[in-house]
Amino acid sequence: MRAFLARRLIATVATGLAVSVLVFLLIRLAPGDAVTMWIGQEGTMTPEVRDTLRKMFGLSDPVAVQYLHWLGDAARGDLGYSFRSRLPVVALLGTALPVTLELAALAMLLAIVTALPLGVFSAVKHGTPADATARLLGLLGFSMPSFWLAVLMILASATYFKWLPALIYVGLAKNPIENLKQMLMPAVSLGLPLMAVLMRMTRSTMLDVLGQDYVRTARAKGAGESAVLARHALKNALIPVVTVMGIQLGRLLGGAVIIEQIFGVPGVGTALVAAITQRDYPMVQATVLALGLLFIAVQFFVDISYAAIDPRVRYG
Amino acid sequence: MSVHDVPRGAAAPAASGRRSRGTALVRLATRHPVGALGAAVVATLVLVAAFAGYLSPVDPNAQVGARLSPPSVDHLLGLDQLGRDVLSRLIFGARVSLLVSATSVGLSLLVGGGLGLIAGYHGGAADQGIMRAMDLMFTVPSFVLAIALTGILGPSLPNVIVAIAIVTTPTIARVARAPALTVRETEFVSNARAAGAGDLRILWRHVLPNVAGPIIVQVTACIADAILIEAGLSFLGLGVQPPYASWGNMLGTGRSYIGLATGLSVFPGAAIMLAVLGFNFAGDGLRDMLDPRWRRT
Amino acid sequence: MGKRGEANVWQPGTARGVTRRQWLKLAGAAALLGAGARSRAAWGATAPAPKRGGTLNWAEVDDPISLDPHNRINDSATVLERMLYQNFTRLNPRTMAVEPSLAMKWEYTKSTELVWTLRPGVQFHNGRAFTAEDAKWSVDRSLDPKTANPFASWYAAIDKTEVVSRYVVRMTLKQPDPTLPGKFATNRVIGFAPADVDPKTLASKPVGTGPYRLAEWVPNDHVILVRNERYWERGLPYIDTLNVKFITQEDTRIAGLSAGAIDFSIMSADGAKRLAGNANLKFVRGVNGVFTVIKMNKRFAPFRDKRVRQAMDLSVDRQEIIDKALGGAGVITGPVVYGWEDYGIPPQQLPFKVDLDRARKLMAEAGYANGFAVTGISLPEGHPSAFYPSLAVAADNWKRIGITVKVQQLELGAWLNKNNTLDYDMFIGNRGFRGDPIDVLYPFYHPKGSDNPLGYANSQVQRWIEQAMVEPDRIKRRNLYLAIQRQVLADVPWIFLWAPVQIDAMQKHVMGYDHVPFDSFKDLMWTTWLDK
Repeated sequence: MRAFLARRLIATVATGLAVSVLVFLLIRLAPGDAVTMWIGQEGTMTPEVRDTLRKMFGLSDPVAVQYLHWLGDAARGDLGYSFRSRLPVVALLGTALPVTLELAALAMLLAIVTALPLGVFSAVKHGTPADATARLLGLLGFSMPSFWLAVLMILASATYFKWLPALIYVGLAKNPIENLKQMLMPAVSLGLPLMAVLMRMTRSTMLDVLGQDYVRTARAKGAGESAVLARHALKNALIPVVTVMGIQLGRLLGGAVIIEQIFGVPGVGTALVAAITQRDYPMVQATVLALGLLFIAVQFFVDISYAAIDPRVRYG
Repeated sequence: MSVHDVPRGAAAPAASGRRSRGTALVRLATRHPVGALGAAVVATLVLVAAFAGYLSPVDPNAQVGARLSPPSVDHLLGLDQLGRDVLSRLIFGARVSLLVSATSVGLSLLVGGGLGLIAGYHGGAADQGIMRAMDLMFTVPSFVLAIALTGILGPSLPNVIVAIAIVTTPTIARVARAPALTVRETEFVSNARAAGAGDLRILWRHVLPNVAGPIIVQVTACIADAILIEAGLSFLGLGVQPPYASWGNMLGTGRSYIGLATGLSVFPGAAIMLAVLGFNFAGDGLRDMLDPRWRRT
Repeated sequence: MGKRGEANVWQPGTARGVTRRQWLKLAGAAALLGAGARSRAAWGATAPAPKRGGTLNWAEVDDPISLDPHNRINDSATVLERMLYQNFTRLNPRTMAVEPSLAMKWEYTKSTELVWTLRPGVQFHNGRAFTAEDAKWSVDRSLDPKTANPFASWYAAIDKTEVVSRYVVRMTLKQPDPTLPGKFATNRVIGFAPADVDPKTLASKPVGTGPYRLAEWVPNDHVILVRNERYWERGLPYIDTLNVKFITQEDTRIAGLSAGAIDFSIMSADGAKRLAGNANLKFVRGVNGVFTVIKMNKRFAPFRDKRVRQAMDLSVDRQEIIDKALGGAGVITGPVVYGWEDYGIPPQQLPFKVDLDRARKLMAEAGYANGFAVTGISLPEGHPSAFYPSLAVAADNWKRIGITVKVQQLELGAWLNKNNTLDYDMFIGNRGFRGDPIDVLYPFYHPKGSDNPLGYANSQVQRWIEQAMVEPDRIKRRNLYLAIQRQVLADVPWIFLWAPVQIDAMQKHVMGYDHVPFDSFKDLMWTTWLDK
């Protein structure tokens, strides 16, 4: 176990480094740089000013040199300053990241508490109209583009209920009730597709498991239906579900980019879109790296949880 | 999947393979009407996409009348903000949306499915290497990729396809890996190995049939997903380039007219939902058809 | 502009230059027939007495990014910076004429020397008195190459700025530039901040003399501005708190206005139509001085032939473009948008018409009877700039004379890159309102201009531009500007399409607000009040 952890830790650091190199290169491959965006289309900036800016941002150095500078600073916890606002990237991320994490956690929570029971229910009632209804509901959630759902939700709420949460974002710590009101619609529209995926996965694996011999055996031995479901079936059905959940976190963070824009939530999605549009390299690098590390950490826990759920899985 | 489980691929009666295709279709339609419906929807969409030029009433990019005209006899679904025929654009949009989603998912099935199987079956360093690479692919947001690819490839359809494929590949890899990981621990596989079967043969004969169910569900979900990712990229202005709009594109611009010409978002939205449902239902049907238990009963 | 000594400070209710304003109003109204009411409260003496206090929930589109007054890097910062900072001069929000602000008067003591007399008794947000030192420091910092002010080139004539006394500043110029007071007035670039603040902090902790000061800023979410109790124009502003929330999606702003969560927001024409049925809302419309154009590059051979460009100009239906791309919220325009003092050509005098026969004849004469195909660069279809639909309609128009335009939609950065490196055959973009019309005319139509992809050169135009640059008499200068514009229109170096009509949607209880031409400034927010 210790060797496994050590190996995973090394792999995680390596992946983190690879992510940073990749993002560093990718964002520089996109046409234009921060100075291009700063110049705008008006062309009033003199070439001397452009050079000054590029030097100031370190953009005139070779990419490898830029990367080593950045890596050296990052190793000391200094992610640099935003090219645009000149504010420290760490501070900007510090305000935006918790917002997105809360949104993702809420969306996931909503998805899990609805999807697991629905999936189990659907599998147990396999082939009945109740199963069909549950699946159809799930599929409707899955098939609707979440940004469209979000737009319809906010318009419907405003038009028919004349209600929207407070305009200016309130932190969870500052005013939990108001914060949850603000997060409700974003979390639902973000969580709905995830809910549908989880429900399908739960149903599908539950069906597999329910057909297995040992479940039949348990039943034959006279174990109660709920005991069979909880002790034998659900536990075994969880592996693919946990896998999908881990993967879906990435999708969730991707979806948050759009959902945050629609609901005006000041999370990393909003910040990342702005940073990419403005070619604010330090901001893009730090944000993608933070999201990447987060994702890698979740994958790590997913892999560990396999073992917890199914002892036959060895640490490879 | 417990140690007591008999691998399904091996248990399937050999005779089933000789049944004629026609019978299988009839069986599918009667035993799995939802799957058949899904297959029918997918088939229809493919036909619409293939014959878009014959089916569409007018040139989808021609400005044929007053902007935001409601549906009429001449233009069954109305005209959009530039006076273009919505029905024709939807028909051509089917071509774009299907092309993008099928190609990108095909790509990720080849790469992701293969890598996932190898990772799960071999374990160890190969597993570590492959899965960390998959994490890496997953970490970079699709729209960062899309922008960067525009820089490398110029604005083109392949950009969007590659960007989506990179996003869906790790999903398929992970889904393929998890059951492969379990299957390789079964007595059956160790017996086969002991009997001298090669890795490829074991993968093909014993591992693949066991992971096919989840992968197929995932592939149909991914095709549906690809349509939605493309819609999201369109929302951010990074979607498919003309000559023809994708459904995602139409939905992205059409939502600005909710209340004025609500059809502009409802029709492409409905088309997307229909396609997504179609692929998912078809996936369900396929999954059950491949499931030996279902065939046995 | 010359000398304008007396303090003709505008006040709520004054209505100067009404003819132009009326035109701007009419243009807005005509463009948007029957779509919503319009506030008249800001006009004339019939307005009810303003009430003080209250909070305005105001939705803006983009985060300001930086509030440093000396290197404005983002359009979205302009509106808020004008609430926070001021400088020597400003534009009268109704007439667009240059008027005193922190300078009470100014004088060209010779053609290369400009002396400013500052207003005494003005305090910064932090309570410190404003003096000549602060003005000098702010100008110097704005023009220091290290500050990287993108608009510093407008002030290239300034050689040095000196403090003469506590309230007098003297500028020495490298060459005559009679337009400097106007360039300061646009205030897109130079705001006065205290000389003793750490300049690095200005981007996030602005200190100015404006009617509002910054209370809070959460990037990408909101800014809270509160009334500056020390503001030198006694009695202003009326509203205590401005909650400025950034919402990029119009659907969300529409929802906010419907639910009453938003009091005030900019709106597209189609957005305004979606809200038209709401009895709680009203709309204010007015022309913005940003013009959208199709640019042609000399590297594409057919564009070098004036007859081809004329044929293209004669086959573009501008009204159709305005109707389809903007939902009607636009006006036709020449090289300088009409309404900026008296510098632009009135729309009814613009020479645009659709004449396909003549266009086809010109194409044949130029040797392109069968037309040609070309690629045009645009932003994506859903972008609020409306570039894509404008070019798409123009392309549809040009099919009639055999020209096929393939429209390529690029992401903002890629599009800008094409623009800045002149890497295109045909390009759609816009050009903003600037310090003085000369900043619009020189870069585009002078052979040495920085923004002249066609290599447009007309020796007469060149002479007029060079004369205007040093002409001290405002009327003579204006006449030169008009002559330049007429010749440019005849030579068709660019296809001029439209200037937008800006629409501000607001709750009925928002009183006294009116549109400020020309750059979506919100200066009349200072005299806006809440009736509730």
